[in-house]
Amino acid sequence: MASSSSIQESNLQENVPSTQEAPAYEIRGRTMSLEEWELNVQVESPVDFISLAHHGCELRDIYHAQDLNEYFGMLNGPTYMNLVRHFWVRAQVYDRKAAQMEVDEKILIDPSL
Amino acid sequence: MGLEPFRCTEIRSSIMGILVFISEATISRVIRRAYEGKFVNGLDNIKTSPWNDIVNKTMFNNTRKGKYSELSMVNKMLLKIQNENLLPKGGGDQPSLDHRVFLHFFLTKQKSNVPMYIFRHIIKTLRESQTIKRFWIPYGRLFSEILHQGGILNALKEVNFFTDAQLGTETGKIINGSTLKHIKLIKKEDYKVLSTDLKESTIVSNLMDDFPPICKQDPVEVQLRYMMDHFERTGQTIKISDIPENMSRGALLIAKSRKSKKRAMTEAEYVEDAPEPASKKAKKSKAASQEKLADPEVLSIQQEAQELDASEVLVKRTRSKKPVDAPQTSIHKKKRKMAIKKLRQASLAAEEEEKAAASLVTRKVLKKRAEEATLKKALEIAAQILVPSDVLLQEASIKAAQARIELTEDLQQLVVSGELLKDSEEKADGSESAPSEAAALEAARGNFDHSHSVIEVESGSETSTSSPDSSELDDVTLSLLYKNISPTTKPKQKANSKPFEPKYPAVLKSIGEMSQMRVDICNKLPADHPFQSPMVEPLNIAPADVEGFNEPAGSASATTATSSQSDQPTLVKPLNFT
Repeated sequence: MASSSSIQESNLQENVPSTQEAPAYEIRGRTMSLEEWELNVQVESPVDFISLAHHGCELRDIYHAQDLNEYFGMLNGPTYMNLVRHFWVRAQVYDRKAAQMEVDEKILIDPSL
Repeated sequence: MGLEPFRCTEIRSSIMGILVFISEATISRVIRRAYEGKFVNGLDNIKTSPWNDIVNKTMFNNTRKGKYSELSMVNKMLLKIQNENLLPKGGGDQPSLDHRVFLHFFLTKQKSNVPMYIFRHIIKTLRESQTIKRFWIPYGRLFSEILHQGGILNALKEVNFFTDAQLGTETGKIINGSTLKHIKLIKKEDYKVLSTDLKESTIVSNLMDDFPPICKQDPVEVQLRYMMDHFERTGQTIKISDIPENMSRGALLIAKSRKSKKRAMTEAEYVEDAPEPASKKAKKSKAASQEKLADPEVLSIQQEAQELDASEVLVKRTRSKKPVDAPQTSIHKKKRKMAIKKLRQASLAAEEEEKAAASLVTRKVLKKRAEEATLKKALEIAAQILVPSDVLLQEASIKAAQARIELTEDLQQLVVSGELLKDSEEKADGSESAPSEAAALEAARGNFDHSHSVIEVESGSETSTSSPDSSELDDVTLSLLYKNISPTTKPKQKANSKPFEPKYPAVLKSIGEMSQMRVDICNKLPADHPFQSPMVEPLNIAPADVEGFNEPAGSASATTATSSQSDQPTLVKPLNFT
């Protein structure tokens, strides 16, 4: 955990400045033709392990082994459906391919690069 | 080239122009779990995959692929939780090989790379939404948490723009013993509700952390008192628009099950996104509060509090206990003149009074039924308020209710015997628990020649045996309501019959209810009843008031003049907006 958390933190530190260096506000275009209100958001179900264990279904050790206790604790909280929808219709997968496309586009505009 | 070096695969989006990047590391951080473990993906349900045997061995303890019904209870629940939370499937029962391998890791307690699974799953579903128009977003809660931790909600809070209703806040449905019962893993009689049972989160969104423990469902007096008290203590003002409509610290909406989600949301629903009011009563109060919110120049309650001055409000309220002698001191009138500058403010104040009167009437009726019921109601009201003010208000409202009951009964007798002045002094001394009553009685010793306000009229309901059903009144038009009243109301009738678009439907509605109550009461009383006259009188003065309103609207002096008479029947108020 300790070793991995340092990796996470370094990633986090890289991510945070990247959002700050970028223009503070940027309206991203929609990436899908679906309307926001058409989307169904599936909200995760919080799990009551104590109740399940009482009824003969002991799952705690299984999820403990996966180190997911924090995750299940997080689940019992508010979900902002409209924000999630707003986020989703503008989401874009930025992977190696997208990055390469970005580079290609720049080169196309300015061949000197 | 001005481009950042490619670091890792990310999902990029923006909320209200604020960029949001989500990577595997982000998810790992949000679920506070190391980004490590096994990850197997893209198995594509190939029958020959070596994983098949391994997975079947773990799941069914057999080399052959079994059926769902052959799974043990624990495995079924694991699968369910996986389908709901870890790798949401959004339909379809057959787990893919990927899902089964994931389950295999859990069952054998080998650490799997959950953040990576989740991230890949998000990308997969995002691409499905983009390419095959899948109407489905997984990980609603996870995204919300990411947005929250990313400071989006704080940013929204700064602009003070969003409420839970607008954000569409929900919480998930809890998987517990009851779920076992529903999917028939345990018998119905074996299910037991435990005291430790997890409850749906009642955490209000962080946008509302400073919200006062009051809501618009509370009686106006309670709201007013709280705000004044808050101002005295902290010097901060609470704006009327900041008061939540109801206790949003209460339960949030619960997410519907996937099965019931089939019906797509309509645009109107999305734009509105306000839950349907449960009852007509709720609708009424909601409408009233919405009206307040809709007002662009929403009056700061502190302003209002200063202008209205608690003693005034109380005097007004207590005046209602004296059907015949309910005067207003000239000082009081002067005060009002100085205090209320704008007509709109006046009408708002009047609305508040009206609401206060309405709640008063409710209490009276309850008193008629039984004293116990009154206490119950008081407790109910008190229960709506959160802990800090809870104790105080509970006591206060009980005391006030009791004192009111006593005083009202006594006063009714006194009015008949005409010995009000003398005895009211004694009464004033006797009623320590309700200083407001005493103050009112002192005020009663002022001048007696003043006209009666609409609240007095409401006090007539003390004599009525049953309360008019307010829910029926919403449909009755004003002109209908006034038909039964004496001919002196004609000018007003005329004004009401004019076609106009009510700018403040909630005001009109509540006024309609008030007047209907009055009509009902009038009808029930015998013609020679001592209480008849005060009921008609306020209507007599109405025409003068109407004239006042018909003066040029732009003239500030006219508005000031009319606002000084704002203690006249609130009935006429809507005419201002015609």
